Amino acid sequence: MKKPLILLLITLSIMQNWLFFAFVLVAFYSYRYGSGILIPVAILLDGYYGNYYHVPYLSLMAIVWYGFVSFACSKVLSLRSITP
Amino acid sequence: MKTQSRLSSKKKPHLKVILIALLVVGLGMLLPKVVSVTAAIVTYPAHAINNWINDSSSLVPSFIRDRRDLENQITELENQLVVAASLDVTQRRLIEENTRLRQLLGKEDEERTLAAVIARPSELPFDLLQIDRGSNQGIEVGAPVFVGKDTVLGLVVYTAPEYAFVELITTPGFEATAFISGPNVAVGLEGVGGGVARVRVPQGIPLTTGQLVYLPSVEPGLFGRISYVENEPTQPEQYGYVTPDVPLSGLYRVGVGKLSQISESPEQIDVNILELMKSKLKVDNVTVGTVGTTSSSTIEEI
Repeated sequence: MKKPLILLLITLSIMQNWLFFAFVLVAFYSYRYGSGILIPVAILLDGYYGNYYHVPYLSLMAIVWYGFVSFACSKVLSLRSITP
Repeated sequence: MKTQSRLSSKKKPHLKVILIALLVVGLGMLLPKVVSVTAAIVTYPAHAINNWINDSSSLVPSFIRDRRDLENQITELENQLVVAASLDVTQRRLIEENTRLRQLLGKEDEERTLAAVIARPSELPFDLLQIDRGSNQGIEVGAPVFVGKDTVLGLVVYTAPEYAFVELITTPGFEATAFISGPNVAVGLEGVGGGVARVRVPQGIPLTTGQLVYLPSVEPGLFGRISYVENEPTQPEQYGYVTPDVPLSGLYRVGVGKLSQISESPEQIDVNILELMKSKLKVDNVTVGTVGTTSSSTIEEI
């Protein structure tokens, strides 16, 4: 139940232009549950705003964010595996 | 034996997700209508809540909207204030410059030529000024030079077609007749140099700092104030050192009058001195407050 609620809050924050709050929620969600589901949310938001007629920047940002989080997690994991 | 590291096996799913996402985004750009319709349906709950916040008259949405509007209004007013303040500074500067220029040009019936100072005593020998107007602009040798409305600085001593030199009253050896307001005496004034002139006054005449010194042979002829008094009781004379109110280093515009403003006859100089004394008690910008009297105070006066 928490996951859909946070996703709804992220969507609402972006719609209301509360960008800092949205960023905090995105960071928290990525840390707790991973950032994969944020890509479809970004695609839906871009569709809602009609950005697919121009440049779907939210979707592209979500893909980049997913790549960044995956890279950061892999580095953290490798550090954990090295340290005793 | 080759083993696959955990790290590289974990990278592959991430790469797959990224590629699939890019593919979906590419397809979306090819079919934007489909994506828009799908998004409208799926995001309907968020859309409804968004509309509720934007349009509802309930307490929470009203509070959020009002707060946002007030913040925007504050930002806009602050920007307007910054713009107005800069305009106010510009306006005040223009008003001050206008007033200064009007003063330099003197009274309406006076004819003066505005000139800029292009060299000052620190850059020229003796107490001289160089101005950027010359004979081509009607500057005459011997014409008085003013700063402000009525402060005379010196006389034009040389004119070239496009510039002129002004000898200041404070030049060593410059002599003039001065009138000191206060003791109301006409005395001799001589330049000492360095922006200072000196008046010689017999002992017994009350000479104090701050007294105005006029040159009655120039119309108008305010020169400066006594800034220092040298008084040795054993000497027959006392000296008052006079400096103009405007520092020479701060001069950048002067007004050049006409030769007709210099009185050469003693009779005319006497008339000028009498005029100065007549207006001695006149004080501008005095306002008298209302005086209340009661019958008891009136009775006391009687």
